[in-house]
Amino acid sequence: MKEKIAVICVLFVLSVVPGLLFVNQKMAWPSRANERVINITGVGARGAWTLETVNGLNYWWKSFEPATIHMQLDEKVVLRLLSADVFHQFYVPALGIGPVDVEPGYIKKIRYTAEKAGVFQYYCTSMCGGCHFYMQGWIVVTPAGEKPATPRPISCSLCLPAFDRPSEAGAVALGEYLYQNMGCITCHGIAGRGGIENFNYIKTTVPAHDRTAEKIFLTDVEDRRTFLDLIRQGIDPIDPDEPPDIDRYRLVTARFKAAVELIEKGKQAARLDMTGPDPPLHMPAWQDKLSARQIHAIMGYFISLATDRDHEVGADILGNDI
Amino acid sequence: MPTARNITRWTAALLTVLAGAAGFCLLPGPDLPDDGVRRFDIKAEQYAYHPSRIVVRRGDEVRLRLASSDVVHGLYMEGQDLNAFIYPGRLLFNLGRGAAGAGYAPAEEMVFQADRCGKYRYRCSVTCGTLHPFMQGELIVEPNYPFRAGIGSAAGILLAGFLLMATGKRIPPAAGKRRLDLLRAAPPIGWLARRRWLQFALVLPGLALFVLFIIAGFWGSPIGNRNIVITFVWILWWFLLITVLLPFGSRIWCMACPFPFFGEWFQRRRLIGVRPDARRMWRGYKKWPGRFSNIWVQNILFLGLCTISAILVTRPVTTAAVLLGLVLTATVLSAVFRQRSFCNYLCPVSGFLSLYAMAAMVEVRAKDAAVCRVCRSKSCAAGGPSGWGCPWGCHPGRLERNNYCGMCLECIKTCPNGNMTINLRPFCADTRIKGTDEAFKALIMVSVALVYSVTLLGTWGTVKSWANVSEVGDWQGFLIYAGIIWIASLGIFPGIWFSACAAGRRLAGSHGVDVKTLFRRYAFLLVPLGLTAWAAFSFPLIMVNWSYILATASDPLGWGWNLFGTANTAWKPLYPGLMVYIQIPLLLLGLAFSLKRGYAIAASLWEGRKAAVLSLAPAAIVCTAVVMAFIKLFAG
Ligand code: HEC
Ligand SMILES: [Cu+2]
Repeated sequence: MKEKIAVICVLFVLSVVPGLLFVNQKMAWPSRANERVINITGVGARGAWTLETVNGLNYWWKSFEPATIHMQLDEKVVLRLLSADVFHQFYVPALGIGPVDVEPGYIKKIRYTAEKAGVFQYYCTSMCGGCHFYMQGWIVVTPAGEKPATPRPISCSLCLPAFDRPSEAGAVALGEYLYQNMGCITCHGIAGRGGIENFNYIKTTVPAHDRTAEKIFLTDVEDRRTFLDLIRQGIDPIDPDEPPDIDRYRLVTARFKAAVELIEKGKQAARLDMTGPDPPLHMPAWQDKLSARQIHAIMGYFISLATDRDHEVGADILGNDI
Repeated sequence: MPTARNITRWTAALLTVLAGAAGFCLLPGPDLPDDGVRRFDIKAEQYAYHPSRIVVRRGDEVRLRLASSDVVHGLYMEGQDLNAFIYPGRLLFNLGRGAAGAGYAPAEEMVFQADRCGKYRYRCSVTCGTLHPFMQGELIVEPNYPFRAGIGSAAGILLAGFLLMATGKRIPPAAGKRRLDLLRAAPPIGWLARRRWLQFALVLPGLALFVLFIIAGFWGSPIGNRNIVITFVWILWWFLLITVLLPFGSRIWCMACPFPFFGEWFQRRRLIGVRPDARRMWRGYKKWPGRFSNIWVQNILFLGLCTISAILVTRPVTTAAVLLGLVLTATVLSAVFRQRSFCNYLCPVSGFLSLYAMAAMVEVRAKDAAVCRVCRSKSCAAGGPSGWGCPWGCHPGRLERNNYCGMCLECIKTCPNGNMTINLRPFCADTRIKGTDEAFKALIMVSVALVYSVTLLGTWGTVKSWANVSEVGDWQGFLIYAGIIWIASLGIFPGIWFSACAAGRRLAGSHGVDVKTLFRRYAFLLVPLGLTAWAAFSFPLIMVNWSYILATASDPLGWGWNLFGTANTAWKPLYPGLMVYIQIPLLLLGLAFSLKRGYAIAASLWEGRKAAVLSLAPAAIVCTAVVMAFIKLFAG
């Protein structure tokens, strides 16, 4: 008799524990009849807010799909935001959601009614590791009856197997490498060409860098070459032992210095509409991630972009299509 | 009997310790700038701060500028109760007290007055990745009196110990002989001990938790400090095991352990009752091969787990996999081998439980040896109508050490003469280490405690990233780290120990006892020392991370539940200022017991007091050095 009770107890424990977990999970979040719950998990290691379930078994190897969150117009949803590793922020400026702090272990719930149709970009606005600047995606709100848009998910190119690291020979190459690897490229565009939308930003798009040379008064090709040589040799252009033969060198260094300082200290992006939300992309302070030399290298890369552009222009004139 | 002579001896000993403590406190400290305001730039990075150690003088105003270079970190300053959230890519951090939220404001500097001397740690307060719970730096406020007093007292205890040895009785009485028959003193315990359902009732809740742990590890949150399998196993269970269960309950854990549960069930085909053919049930089962009938396999497996411990204790999935693996192994083995072969020879936990059970303050023993001598049935070993034969393969009637007694209390039920009982006894009452395997276990445990204190409680980010290879991928560093663990615990420390014993033998006059015996028997010195060092290591775990235990009790899988309303318990260390005042006395206590028991062992090995005392000296010095190393790591 006792023996039977004991066996029943064991079987009870083996089956009821998983059962209770399952039931409690179902009961714990009773979605209101007219609300849909969307679980969104931030995975810093993969640079994605994902709709997939992240657990102990899959976190370590799976490359989670960045979420494209679909909603019907006028649909009521609950966004449950959680983190699978570190601190993140979830921000959808165009919809007025966030920025929401998502600390590991604390789940944030946001009730939202989709009132505007369209495709809206969401962001992670707290640096969360190497892939952070790719941690973006789309919320698609579709009117009933229409076919939902399918914007291309933004996945971390640094994590793609194809991402090849340029060799670090030479300051300009190093600068280019850092420009990609540090994620500057995600805000300032491929080859510094800019054009990246920044919601409610006074200048609309994040500044480009292919005009940096002109901005710091290095208009002459020779001057640029001399200046780049300084950087290549590891000489601080702001304070060289002997001033190089460059036009308006004082002005150049002053501008150069200001740019370096901006990279070091970062800058909040100003709003276009003062009553609107903060722009999602602001210039981070890089002083704790990049050394002075690395920043000089990146500046060197920016300056070299002007030369490239000149060449392209030259090629255009000659009628060569490259 | 407190004779006048004894009182003088003990007073002198006490004075020696105090003099040691005071002497070290009076030594001049390091030269530090004297300008009243000290500024530091501290950069946080997974999983360390740079600089990881800052030294100031008492009374200085300390100004810290904080920055992070990868993810959001926190910085909680012990002793000041100041907390900061540090955001990478931003120049300002959020500064406040207590839980996040109200009262936090952007700041450029964390400013405070270093008004009390000692060691204070700054710890990460925001989950920032796998090794987050171990991310810390240290602020030393000079003069660091607790540390100096600790070192001085250790030296003092060494001197005082030898003073007492040199002046005491010629041959000391064998140590720790007092016993209190617990079953007679407290009959309800006896009643309980004889219940056949007792073990089952203890295992069952453990089994439920075990199932929960496995599910949580695999399907719960990947964040260690947000998953019950990590917080309950590596913080709560480990702490209770080392500081409570083991010293006060011997291997009582083995009674409640779910690992061998299924195996034992299938062997016995009973959960509670006893089979009438119990004496013949082992036909068909193999005996564990004699060559492996020692704890070497356990030693190796334990070291293996230690090598990956930084990963093991921070990833829920690895812990769950190891737990599941152990249960499966135990079950499979018990289908082939007799009784608890898995526990006796394989289980990596069992190895150190057997060693430190020698220090435990309880034991299961025969009341009267004479009764056992004339006993014909030997039921305690072979089984009888009211209980199974000892599943650990002991002969309980003749038990003289705790090592391989799993505290299942079966023999108390089985003995037809009611001759088995549970005794209370003094700390460290079994002093005989019998095999080289056991001696190595003692050496391994102390080495590993030292390595862990450096890796997990230390401030060195490089070592952490070596140990954290599965995330960082620095295999070369990992090899160095693994090499240090294995070579230190199987080569260097045993080498030092061997030399100390050889030197002791020389000092004592080089005859009588061989070095190997000394190596083994004196290894017992490392039992009280090792156990207290592990306890000192484990206190910070619970004092710093207790909030994670509460949080995961309410939200075991990190799915956002709140079962008991504690899911949002804010992280905050519990009385961090008390930490060194717990750790240092524990370590000193361990040292004192090492010397005391060491002298008893020496006296039983050597003829004459002089030889005994001299032979012990080098080993005692090594022990003191080890204790000082721990004090340095914890308080210096
Ligand atoms: C999260 C997006 C983001 C990233 C990543 C980023 N920037 Fe910026 N950056 C900005 C924004 C926005 C501005 C404009 C700020 C303002 O309004 O003045 C800016 C401005 C600048 C400027 C000044 C340009 C000008 O013409 O005023 C420089 C130089 C610059 N960034 C360099 C870098 C470098 C180098 C990196 C990588 C190491 C980088 N940025 C990464 C968003 C970003
Ligand atoms: Cu941290």
